[in-house]
Amino acid sequence: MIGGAPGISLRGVSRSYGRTVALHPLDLEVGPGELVGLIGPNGAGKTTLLRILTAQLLPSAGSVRVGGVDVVADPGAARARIGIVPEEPSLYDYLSAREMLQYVIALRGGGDLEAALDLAGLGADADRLIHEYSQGMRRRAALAAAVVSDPPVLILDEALNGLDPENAMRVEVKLAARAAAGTTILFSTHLLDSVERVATRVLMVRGGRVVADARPKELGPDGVRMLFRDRMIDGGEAPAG
Amino acid sequence: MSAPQARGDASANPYAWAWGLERSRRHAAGSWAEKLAPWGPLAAALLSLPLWGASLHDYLGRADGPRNALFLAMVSRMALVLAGALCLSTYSALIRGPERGVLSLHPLRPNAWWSAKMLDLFMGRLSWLGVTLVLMAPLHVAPVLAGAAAGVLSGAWLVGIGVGAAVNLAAPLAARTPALQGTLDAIRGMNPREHAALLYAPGFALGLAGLAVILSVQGAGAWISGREGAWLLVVPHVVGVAALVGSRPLASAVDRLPTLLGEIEAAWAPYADPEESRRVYLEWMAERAPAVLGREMLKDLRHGWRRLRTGISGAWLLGVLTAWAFAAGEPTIGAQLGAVALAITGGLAVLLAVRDPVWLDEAVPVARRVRTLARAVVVLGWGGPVVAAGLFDGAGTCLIFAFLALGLGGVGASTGLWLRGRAWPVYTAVALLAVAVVVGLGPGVEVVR
Repeated sequence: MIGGAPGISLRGVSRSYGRTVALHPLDLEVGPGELVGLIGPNGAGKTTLLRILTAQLLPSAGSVRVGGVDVVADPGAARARIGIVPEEPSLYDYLSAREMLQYVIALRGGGDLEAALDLAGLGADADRLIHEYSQGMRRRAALAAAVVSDPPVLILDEALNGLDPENAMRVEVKLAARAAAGTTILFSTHLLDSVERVATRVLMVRGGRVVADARPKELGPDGVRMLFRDRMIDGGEAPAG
Repeated sequence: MSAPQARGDASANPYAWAWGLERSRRHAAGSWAEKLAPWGPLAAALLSLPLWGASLHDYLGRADGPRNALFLAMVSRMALVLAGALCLSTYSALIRGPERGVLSLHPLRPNAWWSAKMLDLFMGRLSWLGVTLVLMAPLHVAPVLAGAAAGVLSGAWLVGIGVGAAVNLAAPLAARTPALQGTLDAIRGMNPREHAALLYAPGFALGLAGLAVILSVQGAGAWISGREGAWLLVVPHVVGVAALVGSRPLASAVDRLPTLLGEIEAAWAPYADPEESRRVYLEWMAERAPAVLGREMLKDLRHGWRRLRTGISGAWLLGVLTAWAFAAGEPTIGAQLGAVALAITGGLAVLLAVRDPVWLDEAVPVARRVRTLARAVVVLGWGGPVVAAGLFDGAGTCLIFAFLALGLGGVGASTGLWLRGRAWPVYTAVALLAVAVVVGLGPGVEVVR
């Protein structure tokens, strides 16, 4: 718990684009130390949810608190408590990864540069300009920028996609360690293996509704995959509401 | 390869530090054309001096009355254009700057951001003031006029940035102020409410800055003719500085920009898809062309219409004004407007070339002559209304510039070389030079009345 409040708290949060409902009313609590994998097909509402949580979009209804801060009322304070990796990494192309992290540390008032580079596996390339990086390296640089100041909440939009197996594995292990130390982590992904390996909890979203909320450990071996097939592929109906 | 050693320290002002590094390294990595590009407008202004300086000197030799009237007319227009361009560019820099994506991820340090942004704005727009002052250089033979021009133009520059900053930074707050919701609803048209404040901000800033500039011109008039009221000359300076100081506390509004812009984009999202399935303007031209040519034309017609529509419709607007000017017996103005319109239209070909994906060339090679021909036909189609407008009168001048513009577009389109990247300063320079040529060399054209 952060200041007596859960890491992420949504109450009756919904979002519509015109007549299209992207997110049906949703209640969700994610506590400190939870590493939550958010999975679902394209257009399911994952990115809408993450954008609401990171103050990039307003909810049509409901209240959103992250790190104990009302995201709508005080987006700046909320951002200070969240490390964000957006779907498309936003970085200064003509800075090196080390300089990018120095910039973030200066903005956030502190951080551990070497630990962030280590998490992202960028130590050897930290002094190269970001525009020389491959897509996977850019994603890792964005991840390093998100974790460098050790924020209490991490929100990662497909941050593991496109990473080579070695780096994906390293990032998963390091994220799991951060979660064990109390960080709240919510990550969207299409990689069921990743969710099965590291997530302490899995949320499956379809048609703007959460259709499954489970703990992989309790599901047993291959449980996430079977739940996914049950709820997302074999015509499992979304719950009403 | 390691990045060059960074100077300075991020902790004092992280924005200024990061943007400074970005700017200097981008500059160092750019081609020679990109390095020279920012100097283009200044060079064009210098080159144009002999062309129009002679005409100006003719007028300077006349009696005080007509001379002063000409001077005030000329300076006021230039100052208004300068202030207007700054109000618009301040909006782009503050609200939709390229660093928006990074800013939206982290907490804001408003004072540091404001200082870095203002430094960026002032340094980046210094050459704009330089261009206008160079264009006024022929006035050196009349020091009072030169001083008055410098006063008005520097005031326009300062008030354009100052008022632009204050109004554009106030816009995100206005968008969320309950008391203004009714007003915003009344003026927003089809736009989302949040968008209305941002949409109208540059216009509002332009109105305020324009008022200050007009007062300044009146002050300049009083000064050069020895009347009372010369103090009005410094109104834009005072307003500009006051607005700048007032804009500093408004910087905290930038914290709300990501949500605001996200909402605007979300509001437009439902309208985005139908556009893709609709036929575009002039698509019939591609259907009637031979298959190979038609395929290239279709690509340019669709891509151009969807990405460069502002340029196309902006050129048409100038085309209408061209026709109006010719019809009203103002061939000089008509020729100038037509030239600018056609330069814009020609520039569209260059922009298309700049955005050609390299991988497509490699995957599906197309003969350069086919691409150039297709692009020329498409641009000629877009420029058609402008050329038609020019045919009312002064057809020769307009057509010459049509071919000049298309030629320039063709060079860029076929080589994609010299205008690649940040091309606009070069093209601005060329357009400026083209206008100067019309003004200075147009046969029998009376420049100013």
